[in-house]
Amino acid sequence: MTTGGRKLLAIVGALAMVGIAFPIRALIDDDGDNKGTNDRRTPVLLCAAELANVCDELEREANVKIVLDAVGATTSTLSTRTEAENGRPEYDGWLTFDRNADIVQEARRRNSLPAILEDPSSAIARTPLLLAIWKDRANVLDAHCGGDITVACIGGVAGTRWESIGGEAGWGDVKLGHADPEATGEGLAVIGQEAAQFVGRSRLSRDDFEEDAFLEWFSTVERAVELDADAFAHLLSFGAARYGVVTTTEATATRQLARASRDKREALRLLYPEPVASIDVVFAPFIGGDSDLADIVTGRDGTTALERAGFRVGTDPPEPRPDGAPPLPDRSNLPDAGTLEALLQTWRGVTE
Amino acid sequence: MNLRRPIAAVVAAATILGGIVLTSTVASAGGCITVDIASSPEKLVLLTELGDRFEQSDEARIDGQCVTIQVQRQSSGAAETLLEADWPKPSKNGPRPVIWSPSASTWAGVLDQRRADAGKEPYVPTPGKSFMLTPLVIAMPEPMAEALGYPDTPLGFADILALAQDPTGWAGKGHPEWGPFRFGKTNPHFSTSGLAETIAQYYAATGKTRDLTLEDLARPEVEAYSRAVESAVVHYGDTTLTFLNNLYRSDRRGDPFGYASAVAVEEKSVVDYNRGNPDGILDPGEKPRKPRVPLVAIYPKEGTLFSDNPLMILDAPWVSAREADAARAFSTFVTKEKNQRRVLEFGFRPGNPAVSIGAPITAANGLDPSQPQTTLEVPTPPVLAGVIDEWDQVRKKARVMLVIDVSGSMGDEADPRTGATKLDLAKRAAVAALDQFQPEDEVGLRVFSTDISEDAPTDYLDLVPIGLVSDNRAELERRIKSLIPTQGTPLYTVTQDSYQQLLDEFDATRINAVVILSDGRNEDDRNNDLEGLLKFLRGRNEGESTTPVRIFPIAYGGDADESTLKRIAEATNAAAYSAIDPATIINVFNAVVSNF
Repeated sequence: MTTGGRKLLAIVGALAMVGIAFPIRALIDDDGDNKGTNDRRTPVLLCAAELANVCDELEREANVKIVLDAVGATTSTLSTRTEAENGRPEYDGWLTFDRNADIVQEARRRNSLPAILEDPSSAIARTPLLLAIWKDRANVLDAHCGGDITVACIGGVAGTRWESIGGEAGWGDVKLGHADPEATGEGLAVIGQEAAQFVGRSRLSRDDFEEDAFLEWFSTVERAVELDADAFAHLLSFGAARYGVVTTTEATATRQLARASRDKREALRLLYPEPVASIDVVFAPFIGGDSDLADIVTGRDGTTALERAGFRVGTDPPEPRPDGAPPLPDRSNLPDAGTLEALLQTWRGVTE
Repeated sequence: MNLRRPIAAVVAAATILGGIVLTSTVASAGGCITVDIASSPEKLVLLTELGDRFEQSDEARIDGQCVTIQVQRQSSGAAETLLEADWPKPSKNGPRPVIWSPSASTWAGVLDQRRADAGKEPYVPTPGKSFMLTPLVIAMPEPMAEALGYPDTPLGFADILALAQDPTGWAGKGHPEWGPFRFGKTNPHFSTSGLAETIAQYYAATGKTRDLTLEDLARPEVEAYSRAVESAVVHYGDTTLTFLNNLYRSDRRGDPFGYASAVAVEEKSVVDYNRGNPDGILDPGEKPRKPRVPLVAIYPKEGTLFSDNPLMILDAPWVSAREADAARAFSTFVTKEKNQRRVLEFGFRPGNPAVSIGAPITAANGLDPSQPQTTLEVPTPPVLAGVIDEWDQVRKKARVMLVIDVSGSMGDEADPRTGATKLDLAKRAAVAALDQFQPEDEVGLRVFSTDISEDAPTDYLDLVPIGLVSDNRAELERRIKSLIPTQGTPLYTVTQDSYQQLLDEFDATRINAVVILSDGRNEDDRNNDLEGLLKFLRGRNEGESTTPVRIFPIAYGGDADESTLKRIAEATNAAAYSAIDPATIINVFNAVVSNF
C-alpha cells in the first residue's frame, strides 16, 4: 500500500472511530449512571408511586425520565443515606408530599447528615382527604353519629357489627379501608387526620399518642382497617361487601368516579370531615441536580398533569365536582412531619 | 485518558445488544412476543376469546412487535404446586407462564408463603390486576333451598353445615324422600372454590369472620366440627365442573335431588348451569338445555370470599422484560369497557366499575346482584397454608380399589426416548399417587387381563386387599412395580365385579370408589354387554337410598375406549379422566386422586 493509501485508510479509520464514539457517548448519556455535572443527561425525576399517572404524563409530554418508588421507602432511604454522591446526583428532583419531604430533611438534621434535598417548593397542587361511604351505610352512621359523621365516630364503630348500630344483620362488620401509612403518603396523611380529629387539633405532640383514650381508640380503628393501596377502586368494584367506608383523597375518588357507572356513582356519598385536611404535592430538588427540572414539574407541564389526575391546582375542585366539595383550608391541617413520624411509630405498635 | 469507561461501555453495549437479540429471538417465535397464560379452568374460554381480540387490536404491539396470547388450562392449585417447584418439565406440564391467572389472589399468598418456607424468592411480589369477580356461593336445587327458608330467610355456612352434620338429613326438614344431606366441595389443594369453602368452614367453626389464626385451626372443637362437615361430602375433585356435570345429568334423568344437595361453587357456575351448560363449555354441536330444576345461589349471611381473577405477571427468571410489557398491555386491554361487557356476558362480575352488574346476574338465574353484602377476611398466608394442611387431616377418608389394566397392549412403547412402555409410565404414576393418600385411607390393588388367574374369577387378580394405607403402602408399591403386561382386556367384568365388591363392603364414613386405568376396549366375548353394565351401575346410583360407589376411569393411551369409560363414570356420578398422551399420566393420576 502506498503512503497516500495508508493516510487515506487512517483518515477513514479515524472517521469510523468518531462515528462509533457518538452512539457510545449517547448510550452513556442515556444510561443515567454518569454523575458528571456538565453532562446533558435527561433530568431524572424520582416520583412517589401514588403519583404514577402524573409522572407518566410528564414523561410523555416533557423531556423527563421517571423513576417510581413507594414514598415510604424513599423517605426512609433518603433519611438515612450516608454515601456521598460525587457530582450530579442520581436523581434531580423528587415529586412527593410535603410531609414526606419534611421528614427527610428533619431526619437528616437530627442525624447530623448533610442535606441532600434543597428546600421543597410550595405546594404545587393539593387534594383534600374524604370519606367514601355507601349511602345506605351512611344513613345508619348519620343516625348513630347524631347527624355528623366524624372520623372519631366512625372509628368508634370500626370492626363492630352494623346490626349493633342500626344496620342490617347481613351487612356484617363495619369494614374500613385506607392506604398503608408505612408505604404511602396518603396512608400517612389518613392516620394523621384520624389523630388530629380525635384529639381535636392538628398541632399534636408525641404525648397525645400516649394517652390511654387515644391509644384505645386508635388501635380499635387501625386493627379494623384493611390496608389497601387500591381501597377506593375495590370499594367500587367489590361493592359494600368489601368496604363500608374508605378514606382516600378527592383526587383518587373523582378520577375513578368519573369512569364508574351511574348506579355506583349514585350509591356513594363523599364526605369531607371537618376540619378539612389536605395532602400537598411538592417538588423537592436534589442538591446539585438539574435545575431545569423544577421549571418542568412546577410549571405548566406538571400542574396540567396534576390537574388531570384530579388534584386542585387553584382552589376549584376537579370535575366532576363532588357534592359538598369544600374550599381548601389555608394549611393542610395535618400534624407536622416530626409528629407524623411519632404517630407512625405508634401505629406500628398498635397494629403489630 | 481513562479508557476503562469507554471500553466498559462498549462491552456493556455489546452485551445489552446481544441480550436484546437473544431475548427477541427467544421471545419472538413466529415473529411475535408470546405471552403464555396459565388460567384456571372456568375462564379458559373467555380468556382465549379475549386473547384473540387482543391479538387483532392495536394494543398488541410492543415497539412494533406483535403479541400472541396462549392460554393453557391449569387448576389454580395445580399451577401453584408447579410454580412452587419452579415449573418443572414444560414439555409435560405446559409452557412456563408469563401470566398466572388463578381464580383468586389467595393463591399468590399460598405460593409465596411456600416459596419463602423453602428459602425461595417470591414470584408474585406485587398483587396482580383483578379483571373480574365472582363470589363463592352455595348452589342448591331451588326446592331444597326453599325447604331451608330461601329466599326469605338469610342462610349461611353455619346453617348448611349444621344440616350436613344432622344424621336425620332432609327428614328433619320434612323431606325424607331426599335422603341424607350430600355436600359437594372440591379439593382445596387444587380448587379455589374448595379452598374458599374450607376457609369459610373454619370461620363457621370458630364463629369468627376475621382474624383466623393457626391456633384456631388446631382447637379440638374446630377440628371435630370440620370433620363432621366433611363426612357429608359426596367426593372431592379438582374442579367444580365435575359436580355440576353430574348434577345436570341426574337432573336430566329425572333425579335432581339424588346426587348432591348443595355444592360450593362460584356464582358464575350457577349462571352456566341454569343456562343448560354446566361446565361452561359448549362442544361443537352441543345445544344447551335448561335443567328441569334450576339451582339458586345462597350468599352466606356470614360473608363469603370472592374469586377476583387476578392477572399476575410473574417475577420469574423465564419472564423477559418484553414479555412482561406485552403481558401488561394485555392486562390493560381486558379491563376496557367493551371487554368487561363480554366478561359480564360470561357470568362474571366486571372488575371495571364502569360496567354495571346486570344480566345474566339476575334473580331469574337464581342470583342476587345486590349480594353479597359482606365478605370474610382472607387469612394471612401462613394461616392459608395451615387451612390446607389441616384439611388433609379432617377430610373424609377414602376406600379405593385401584384397578389396573395389564393387558398385552400395555407393553407398547410409550416413550421412544427411554423405551418405557405404557405400563412402565402407569406404574410410576400409580406409585407417585400413593403419596396423595392419607395413612387412614384404605386402598387395594387389583389387576385385570384375560385369564390372568387360574382360579375363578379368572379375569382379574387381587394383589393387595383393600386395607389402611398406613399398613399396606409398601406392599402396594412393591406390587405395582412388579406388574407386567399379559393378555386381553375384560373391562366390563372387572368393572362390574370391583363395583359390586365395594358395594358389598360399603363404608358410609368413607368415599367408596374404584379407579380403573385401562388402555383398550373390552375384549371379552363372555361379557360384552355394555348397556347391561351401565344399567346395573345406574340402578345403584339413583334415588335417595343409594350407597354411592363412584367409578373414576382413566382412559390411557390412544387406543383406550374413552367414550365407554366416560359412560361408566357418568353412570356412577363420577368423572372420567383422559391420559391419551401417556406422558401426562402422572398429572392425570393426581387429578383422579384429588377426588379423595
